[in-house]
Parts: sequence; C-alpha cells; structure tokens
Amino acid sequence: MIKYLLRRLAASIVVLIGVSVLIFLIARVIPGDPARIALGPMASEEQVAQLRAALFLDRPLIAQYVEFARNLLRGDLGVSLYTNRTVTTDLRQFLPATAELVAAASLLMVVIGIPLGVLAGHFRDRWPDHAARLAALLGIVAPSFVWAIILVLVFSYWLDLTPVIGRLSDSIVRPPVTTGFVTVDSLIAGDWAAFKDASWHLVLPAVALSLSGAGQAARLTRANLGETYGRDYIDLARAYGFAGRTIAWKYALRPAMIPTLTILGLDFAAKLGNAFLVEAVFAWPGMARYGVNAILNKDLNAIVGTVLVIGFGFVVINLVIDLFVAYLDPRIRYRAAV
Amino acid sequence: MINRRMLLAWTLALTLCGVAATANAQQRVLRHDESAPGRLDPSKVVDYASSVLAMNVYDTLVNGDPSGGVAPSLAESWTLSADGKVYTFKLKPGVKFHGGGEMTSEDVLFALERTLALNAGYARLFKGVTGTAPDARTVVLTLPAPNAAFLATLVRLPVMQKSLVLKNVKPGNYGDKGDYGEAFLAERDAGSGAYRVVEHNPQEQSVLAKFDGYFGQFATNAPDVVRIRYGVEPATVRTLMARREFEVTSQWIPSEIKRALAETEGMSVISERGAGYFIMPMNTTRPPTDDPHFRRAVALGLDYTALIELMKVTPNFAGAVPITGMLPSGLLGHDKTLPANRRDVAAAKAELAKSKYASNQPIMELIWVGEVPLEEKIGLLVLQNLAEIGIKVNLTKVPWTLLTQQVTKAETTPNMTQRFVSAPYPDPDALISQNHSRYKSTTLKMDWYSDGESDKLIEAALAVTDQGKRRELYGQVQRRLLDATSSIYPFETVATFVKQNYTVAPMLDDTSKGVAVQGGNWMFRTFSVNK
Repeated sequence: MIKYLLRRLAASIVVLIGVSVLIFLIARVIPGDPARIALGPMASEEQVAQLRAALFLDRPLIAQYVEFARNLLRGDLGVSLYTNRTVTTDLRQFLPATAELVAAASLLMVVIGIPLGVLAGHFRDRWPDHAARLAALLGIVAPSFVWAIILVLVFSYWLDLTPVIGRLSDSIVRPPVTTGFVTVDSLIAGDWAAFKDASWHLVLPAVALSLSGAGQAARLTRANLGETYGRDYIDLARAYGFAGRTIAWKYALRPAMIPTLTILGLDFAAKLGNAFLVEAVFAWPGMARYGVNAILNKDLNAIVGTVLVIGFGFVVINLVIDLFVAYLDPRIRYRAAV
Repeated sequence: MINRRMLLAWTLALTLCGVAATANAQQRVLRHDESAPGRLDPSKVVDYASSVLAMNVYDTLVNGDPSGGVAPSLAESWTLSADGKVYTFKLKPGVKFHGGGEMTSEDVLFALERTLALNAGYARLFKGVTGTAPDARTVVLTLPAPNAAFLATLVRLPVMQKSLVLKNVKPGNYGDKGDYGEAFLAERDAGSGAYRVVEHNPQEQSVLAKFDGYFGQFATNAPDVVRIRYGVEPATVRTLMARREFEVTSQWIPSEIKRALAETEGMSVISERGAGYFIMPMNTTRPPTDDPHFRRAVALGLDYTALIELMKVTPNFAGAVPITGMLPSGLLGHDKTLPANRRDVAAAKAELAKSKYASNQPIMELIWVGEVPLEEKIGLLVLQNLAEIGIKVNLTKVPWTLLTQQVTKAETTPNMTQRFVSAPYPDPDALISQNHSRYKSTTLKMDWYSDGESDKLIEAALAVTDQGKRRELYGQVQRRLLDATSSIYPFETVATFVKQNYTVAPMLDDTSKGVAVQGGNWMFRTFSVNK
C-alpha cells in the first residue's frame, strides 16, 4: 500500500508540473496586453513598457517560465494586477471561502443524493423510484446559477427568510481567522451567534451548488445498486432472510458506492473552479470568482495561481479517492500490492 | 400597590432609556455596489470605483467645482508665476491624517514623488513636474511647460502621510524606498479624507468609517459607515434594494432593473451628467470606413432620437441627452452652436452614392464589448438604421481584453466600435486630448485618424491660460474633427443610479450641484441617511 501511495505521489508531482507549464502558456495566449489592461487606456506607452518589464513580459517565454518557476519554489506567485495584492494573499483569503462552500455543497450532495439513490434503487420501478428520479432530474437539468437565482427569489425576496449576500451579516463581528472557514472559526472562538449567522449564510449557496451533484449521485447510486442487486450474494442474503434495509445499506451499497464516490470526489474538485456563478449571485468572496475575474482582466499571475490551486485540489482529491476506493474494494488493494 | 406602580414606572423609564441609547448607538450605514473592485492605492487609480475610494479616503490640493473649474481643498490659496510654470500653494493648517499627525508640504511632495516613481494611474499627468517645500505650509510645483489643465489634474494627486508610508515599506524595486509602500497601501490607507478604511477585500467589499478628525464638514446624518460591495449581480442588487439592505445602486446595473426599482415605493432615480459622452469611432484606415463619404453616410443614417430613447431609465428619466460637438455640457468648450446630430436618410443615401464603395460595398464590422450588454442593444439599433440606407453591418461581440489587443494595430481595429467615456479631471483637455494622434493604438483612439493641425490646436489650448482663448481653440478642434467624421458622438451620457428615498445625495439628486469628475459626486460626507 505504501508503494502504491508513493507511486501515486510521484505521478501527482509530474501532473502538477505539466499543469503549471500548460496554464503558464495558455494564460499568455489569451488576447490582450495585461499591462495595458491594468494601467487603463490613458497610460502612456512608456508606462505600459515599464510595467511589462516589471512583469518580465518583455523577455522570451522560456525566460519568463524560469523566473516564474524560481519564484514558485519560494512560494511567490507574484502580484495580481486585478486586486493589486500578492496572489498568495488573495488565495489565502479567497480559497477558504470557496472550500467552505464546496465542502458544504459536497456534504449536501452526499446527504441528499445517496439516500435518494438508495431509495430509488431499492424501490426500483415503483413510485418512490419515479419520485426520486424526477427529483434527481430536476437537480441536474437546471444549472446551479439558475437554482441560485430561484432560491434567492423564493427564500430571500418573497419569503424574506434567508440572507442574500456574503458570509456573515454586517452586524456580526467576524471571529479570528484560524481556518478561514467562518463556521469553523466561529466554533473555535465559541461564538454561537457568528456560527448561526455563518451557517445561515451558507445554506442557499450550498444548496444551489449541490443540487446537480446530488442528482448525479442519486442516479449513479440507483444504477449501481440495480447492478449489485442482480448479484448472487444479494440473493443469498435474501435467502438467509436479512431485512431489505440491511441488504440495501450493508451489503449492496458498499460495492455500489465505488463509482459514485469517484464521481463525487472529482465533482468536489471541479466545483472549486465551477462555483463562480453561484459565488457571483451570492456575492460570495471566493476563489472561483477571483479566477474568472482574473481571466477577464488577463491577470496572468492570478490565473496561474488559481489554476495551480485547483489542479492541486484535483490531484489531492484523486489521491484520496483512490485510497478510499482501495479501502472499500480489497481487490484493488491486492492488485496495487503485486 | 404604590411600590408596584413605581416599579412599573421605573421599568418603563429604563426600557425607554435603553431604546434611546440603542438608537443613539445605532450607526448610520450607507451600502452601495460597484462592478470592479476599487484599487485602494491612491497612486494607481484608473477607474470609477477606485476614484470613489480615493476621493473619500484621501484629500487633494483642489476639488472639482460645480461651476466647472476647481475649488480649494487642502490648498487654501495659490498663485501662478508670470511664465505660467510655477504654482505656489498655501496649505490649510490643522489637517490631520487618519494615522495621526498633521499634514505638511512634505506630504504633498511625497505624494508627487511616489506617483511619478510608480508611474501608474494618472502619473502621466504630472510628468516633468518638480516640487519644493519652502516651509511646512507652502508647496511650490514647477511645470516643464505652461499647462492650463494643471490645476484640474490635481484632483488626481491624492496626498498621503509620508511618515506612515515610509514606516511600512517592504523590500522592493524603488531603491531606498523599498516597495514605496505598495503592499501597505493596497490594503490600508494613509489619507486624511472624511472616511478611513476599516476593511478592504477586493473580492468582497471596502468598509469605510467616518473620520472624526476630518477638517471639513459632514452633512447632518452623514453615514458613519460606508460599505461598498464589489461585483454584486444585478438580480441580487434588486433583492437587496427591495429588502432595504442597500441604499444606492451603482450605475452599471441594467436599465430594466433600474426601471423596476424606480417603480418601487420609496426609491427614486438619481444621476450625474455633464462629464461624459458615448462615442462610436470609425477606423479611418480600413475599408469601407476609410472613405469620408461612407463615414458621413453612417453618421447621417443613425437615429439619434431612438438611441436616446433606448437609454431612458423610466419614461420620465433620461439616461442620455443630445450633444452638440464633442464636449459634454459640464466642461469648458461645450458649444451649443456646433451642429447637432440629426438623421437624414436621403442625405445619407446621397453620401453613400458618392463613396467609392457605392457599387461594391464591403461589410462594415461593428463590435460591442461583451462586458457592456447595453452596447448590444445600441449595436442592433445601428444595424437596423444602417440597413435602411443600404449599409451592411456585421455586429460582433468581443471581450474587452480582445479589443485592447485588436486596437494596437490599424489593420485589426474594427470598422466601428463603441465606448462610454467620462472625464477623469474637470477640464476639457481630459476628453478632447483623447483625439490626439499620440493615443493611436489604444482604446482612446480607435478611429486612427491623423490630423497634425488638430494635434497642434489641442497642444496650443493646453499652453494658454486665457479661458476665452482656450474655448476658441477647442471650438476649432471640434469643427475640424467633426468635419472629418472620424468618430460619431451620439449623445451625452447621464449616469443613473437608484437610491432609497431616505438617502440624500446632494450632488446626484441635483445635477447642477455635481462636478465633472469621474467619481467626484460620491463624496459620502455630503450624503445623509435619514433612516
């Protein structure tokens, strides 16, 4: 297992180097001069040239990459021309906001999606199955930002129940930053009012972001459960007289979960970048929105920094999923060992 | 029984006192949104949001004046030498910085030196300017050449506390000045303005708090706290306004939402005008817009009344007004006697017949910037107007970044583009100089039109201090450029916002009190929140 882990780690480093080269080149192919965009149309040619030199944009691509890699090794991603701060400062501030949102959405995906899938799989072709499939379909057909707007309209505009923007109400003092997750930080600080408020702010964006993934999880779980239910050992369990619930949750779900977990894990990493529309609707100060704004403003350092973080997220999640799947399925552990 | 009554009375009295105390302690908050994040560093201001921040957090030697010129601010008086090159400013005494300490002439010079060293923002306006400080309250600024717009450009030189900035420098590219406080001023302030920065998160919001040591006056019920939210979706702004969780919207939300909000009880539309226009430059080097007859045909073919109608926020509230010439009504040189825009289909067809493309006409490419949806509507109207006179138009959406690249070469600049422009400082030079040939290859000069005589006139108008003479020279520039029809100026823009009626914004409520400076009407100390 350790050999397997080391092999995967080595592969991950290669992937990250590849991502850094690729995004470094792609960012430079996006049309527009970052210096001119940052300085505005009234800046003189001399001002633009000076900024281009400061950003090393007047050097050959290879020299630019060497400079970038050298700084990266020192943990320096450069300055964002969009926010005017170092990219590391920005990411430190914005990543936890997105991570908190995506974590809450992923939790909801599991909590809503998997039971819905189990329900549908267990009562296949009966009314609970039809109802669950319809609910799953509804989650998938509308993009998350449409759900975001619908939820705001219903719960904030008409019913006036939930907050509309941000992570905390203006009247609440933000707890000291420990993890960057406001809910967790407020718990650490023992500030229940802040915890309640932060959780309340998290509800709508997390629900909006989770619905498509929950639908996907439900459909996958249902399909895989259907396949598992056809296996001999399930018939054996039935013959032994195990209760239907026990068969579903204890014997059928575990093997059926492997593809679902893989997809959910990748969805988690993908949401780090894809959450931007939900972040835009709820004015959520997250990294996904930062990344999109960086692209629109051709903020080279911020683009590269954001993509590297998302790439790193994918690599880590992939690794975790592989280990978890290996834990769930002994055959994979065995194959990895030999 | 008496004891019980007394107890009840005391309880009631204490409760009322508590309520009163809470009400007193309650802060007046002004909440507003802007599309792009404001840059906090005063030497790097280039856009509207950053201008609003700078004008509230920092002070300048002079401010914009509703009369069209400038009014004293940090400088209580000034004199100009006979050769027009040396300005001597007497500073107001007792101006305090947010970080403690009093403002002196050293701080003014430091602001100038830092702006020139960083060479960002509006640094080009001060190129070649040098300064000395004979005493703590006197600043002498020497210009390389006489510059009639210089006083006006000073609204773009925010003064910062030298000692605080230097105390917070980090290693950087500016020799013994390190990073010149770039990292510090990206998140903190060193100003003396009416508001100090409490929080600045470029992705979320800037929070400003009233500065009690401010030398100027605050309006009655001026906001104690100002929250400027960045990048809030228009639909979300609408919800926040409906819930009374926002006091004033930005100008960037779509007209439909402004209209819906304006029709809501307790809200109304406010505006600023006189400092901006809408321009449609035509590339004079590419077919078919390289032909002056073709360009005149386009100009005569546009329905300006319909364009202005399209800009309306409500049936009674204009988002644009007719313009004559190239200068908006709030600036010197605005000339009502210049020919007004008019649609004349017959004349347009006659001009088209005279053009070299009368028989074999290439398709004209008109672009709209993806980040400004309103430009698509304008583009569609133009497309329809020009189809009526037989001009074929290809309307294309391009992102701003792509346009900035396209305009660097004449051969890749589209035939016709669109742009909303506003004056960064209260002087006609701020707008008319954008027609100077030196701005070719930028989004300011997308017509690629060269006219040496116009360049000379623009430079001459800057070198004379007599305002009558300047007006005359700007009149000549406008006539020459309008005759060439290298760009069309369809209307003067009226920036519109929606506010809660319990909010008073004097410079926006009454446009005659406004100043012709980008962001200059958002002095929060003049606002009142009567909630």
